[in-house]
Amino acid sequence: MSWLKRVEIPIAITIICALIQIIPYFVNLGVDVENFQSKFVSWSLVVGTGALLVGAISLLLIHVPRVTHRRQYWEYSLLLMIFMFIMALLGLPISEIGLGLRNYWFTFLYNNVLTPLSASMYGIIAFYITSAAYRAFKARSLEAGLLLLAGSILVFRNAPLGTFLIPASADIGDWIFNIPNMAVNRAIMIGGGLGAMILGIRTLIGYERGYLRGGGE
Amino acid sequence: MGSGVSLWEKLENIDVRIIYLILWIVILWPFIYPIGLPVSIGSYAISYAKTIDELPPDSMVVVSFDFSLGSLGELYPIVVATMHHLFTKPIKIAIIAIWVDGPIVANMVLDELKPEAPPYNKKYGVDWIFLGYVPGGETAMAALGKDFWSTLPLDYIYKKPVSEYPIMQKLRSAADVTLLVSFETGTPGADEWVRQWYVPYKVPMIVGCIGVMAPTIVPYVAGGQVKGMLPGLRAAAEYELIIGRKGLGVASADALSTSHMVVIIFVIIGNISYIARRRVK
Repeated sequence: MSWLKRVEIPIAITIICALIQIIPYFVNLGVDVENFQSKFVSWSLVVGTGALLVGAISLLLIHVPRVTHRRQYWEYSLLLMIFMFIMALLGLPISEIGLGLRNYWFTFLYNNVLTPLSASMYGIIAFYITSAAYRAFKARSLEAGLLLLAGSILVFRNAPLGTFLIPASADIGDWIFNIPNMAVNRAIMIGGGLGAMILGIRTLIGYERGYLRGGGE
Repeated sequence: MGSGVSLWEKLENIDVRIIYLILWIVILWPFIYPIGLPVSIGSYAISYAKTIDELPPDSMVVVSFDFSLGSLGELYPIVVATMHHLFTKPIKIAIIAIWVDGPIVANMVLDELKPEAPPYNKKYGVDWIFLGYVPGGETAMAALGKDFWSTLPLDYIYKKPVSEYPIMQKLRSAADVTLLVSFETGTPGADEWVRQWYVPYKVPMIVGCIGVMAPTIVPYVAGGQVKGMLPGLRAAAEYELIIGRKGLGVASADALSTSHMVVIIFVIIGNISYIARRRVK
């Protein structure tokens, strides 16, 4: 059965799956081929959902040794695993015994623990940004000065008080946003798109093997 | 001179706790004592509202909740205002979520607005439907674009086959969709929707997003793929004023102003002290 370990097999599967998706996108090959293509997309959804289980196992492989060996911050790992199991258990789709996404405790924990914690984490960024802007946003060079000027105008534009005090900041801010910013973002998008195409072609012809056990060429 | 250097140094190294405290106060203060600063309305909010206003009767609108709970503070006012605006129109609405937290937020909004009660009087399964979460990110978008019925065979609320609902008789693929509304904070988001729904099916979309995402979406606005964009809290306030329903966006506008001004003041202090200290040296 050593042939099963041959690297050519996953490469061939990748190439076949990619061609099934790519060719019907450009060429009309009839309803049967389109249906087959749709089935492939559905399969990938199932495979993607299965990857969640792999993620959970991976998480346990990291955190169980941390708790058993009492490594630094092991208490957090324990808390993480306890809540992971509680949420997984409460969310099991067995409505006959009251479990599932509509279970009271599942909803309670989601709404009253996860939601405020997530919102707090995001909200804390405002404090870090203010502190970081004060320390790092300095006109150390011409380029940094230009960045400082553009950034300050956009801060003014984004605050109702800013556009109230300096009405011109709205127009100048819009210009910065719509002209230089858009030009740069378009360049990044085009560069990224070309990169994705090249990566796709390299994968298709078997040159890109990073996805195979993390190995190189 | 020695004392001057000391002053600049002090100004350049203000204790971070003082900065946090000042910011904390200026954010909280306007919520307790609203200032009511005027909010000028920008072109993005106008085009966003206009896109919804110009929807023909019986248009099929798909609303996708593509964000996590972390950005609730910035996105929730946009979501509530948009859903209110949509529910007041004689259109069909299908709600989906590409992000796992999406259904939770959608439930929060639906609990708040109650689409079946006045003033909306929308009938579930006829005027609107909640289809729930689709795992798979961009692949899920592609699958939905091809076939709603097989990708989401059951609705989220009653777990009944979608084929039994009258609204779903008009929604088989993305080709049936008049407008896509996406609330988003990252990937998968506008890039992926444009690739999977605009390019093959020419479905126009409007986007409500967090402020930091706006620079990456603006090329699609100029390109015509995104018909309107509401980036962040300020845009939410503008939009609430346009549709005449003041909510969290307008309530947060003062705090937005004061916090932004604190950032500007600290940046000015930092720069003055930096330049002064360099000159002294």
